[in-house]
Amino acid sequence: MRKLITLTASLLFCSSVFAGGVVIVHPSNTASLDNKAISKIFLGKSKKFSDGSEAKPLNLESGDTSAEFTKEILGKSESQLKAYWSKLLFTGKGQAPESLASDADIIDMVSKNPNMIGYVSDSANVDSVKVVSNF
Amino acid sequence: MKPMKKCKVALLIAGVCCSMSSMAEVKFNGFASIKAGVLFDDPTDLNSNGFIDDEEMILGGFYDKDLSFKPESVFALQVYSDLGEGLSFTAQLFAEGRSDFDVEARWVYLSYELTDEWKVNVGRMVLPMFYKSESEKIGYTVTGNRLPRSVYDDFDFAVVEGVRLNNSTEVGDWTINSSFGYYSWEGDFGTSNGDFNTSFDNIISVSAEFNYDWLTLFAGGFIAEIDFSELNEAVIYPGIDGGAAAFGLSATETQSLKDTVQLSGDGQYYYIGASIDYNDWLMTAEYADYGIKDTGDTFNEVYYVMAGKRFNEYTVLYTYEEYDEPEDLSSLNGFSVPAQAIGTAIINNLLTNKFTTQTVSLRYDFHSNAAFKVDVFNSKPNGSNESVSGMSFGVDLVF
Repeated sequence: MRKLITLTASLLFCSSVFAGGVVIVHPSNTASLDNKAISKIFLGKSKKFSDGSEAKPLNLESGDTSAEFTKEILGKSESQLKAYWSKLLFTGKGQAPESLASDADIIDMVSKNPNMIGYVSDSANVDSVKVVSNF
Repeated sequence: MKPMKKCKVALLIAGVCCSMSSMAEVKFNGFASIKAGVLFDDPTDLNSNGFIDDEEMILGGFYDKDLSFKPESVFALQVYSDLGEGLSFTAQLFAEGRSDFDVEARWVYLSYELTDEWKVNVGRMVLPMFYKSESEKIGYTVTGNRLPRSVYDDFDFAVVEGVRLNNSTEVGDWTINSSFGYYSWEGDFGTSNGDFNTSFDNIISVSAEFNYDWLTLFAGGFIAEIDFSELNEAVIYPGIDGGAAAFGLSATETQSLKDTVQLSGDGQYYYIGASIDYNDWLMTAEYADYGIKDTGDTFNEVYYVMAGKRFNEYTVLYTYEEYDEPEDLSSLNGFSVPAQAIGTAIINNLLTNKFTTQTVSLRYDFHSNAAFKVDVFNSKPNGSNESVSGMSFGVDLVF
């Protein structure tokens, strides 16, 4: 019994430290999207999906999932990402993707628009969208 | 009546804001730096020429032995309005301590997306003189507390008016960002003899950045027709006339000497370099070469190399920089010995002697929008046994 409690506690600990998530697109989106392609879209380096259609990235407002996405997919810390966008924003070269407050907001937008791509925590209900990557 | 007036103004502002928000999305962002610095010793006459001159000011930054919070503190507020269908308007109001916090419009431009890859900006912008010129005041984007002053010195003509085409293209795994601009500038050019009205016309600028994941290569430059007539008339020509009278130069040779060492002409500014950000190891090297061709201005050769490493929220960085204006008196060949002496004196007075600076920086990203940084630096003029040491530190934030 004691072992089971320890195991449960460690799992809880893991889930809070490693707040993983999934990258989602509209169910009709057939573009090939590996992590490098996703990173380029979220850093404003690619404006289109591999099939040529316009890509509109959506960020999740700061939190564990956002931090994990930034680290695992974009390969940057939150401060590095902030510096990256500040340089573009204040020199007229680009705007960071729009940020939404919750998983539900992101899923709602992505499920209604084939051009959108977002990420949510892996505990979110993603039945209405297509998952293209885990992090 | 007064409260009524205030009420009307408030209503007016509310009405304007309301109508703006119904027409277009308006975003406010900004950045600020609160910085202080101090020299460990008083600025000294390192090159023993009898006074504290430009290079000794550069070496010490802006500081003396008393801690000062003013020279490198800045703030900026940016308003961005997306007008839809690819059209947007941006205005950035900027103030810095070294200009007594007088607010200036550093960026004011209309932007239109021609295609996914091409965008045109028209208005007031910062000239991409060197790699980081456009972002040099945004302290948060700088790894250390300040950029190397050998390259990123204050230039009076940093903010220009004109038109710029920005391009962003993907070629395989590389992203290429480039800009092509046509601008002009007119204003006061500060010298140790005072400010002189100066103009830079037909500025043609090209800059390009090639990025592959961890590697960035960059290069750029601009050419301009520079008019220093006021400075020539007030300083250079009287200097030559005085020398010519003393040495008894002929009128023809005096005029020829004026034409040779005057400062109006074709300005040429170039930079090239590379930057690496690999597994939290950082390295950047940039070299720049600039001057006004066929004039009394000596071409500057400046560079820096910086290397560092990130340790989670901490970054340490070492920078070596060198400023040089190698003496070039070849334009005086063919003049008489006295004319050469006058010309040499003027050319040497216009240039700043070689110096090197080494800086160790520590950055601590203590907040998602703010970083604390400290730089400790030591600067040394070429051939001098003495040097100047000091430190600058502060907080950079973006919002």
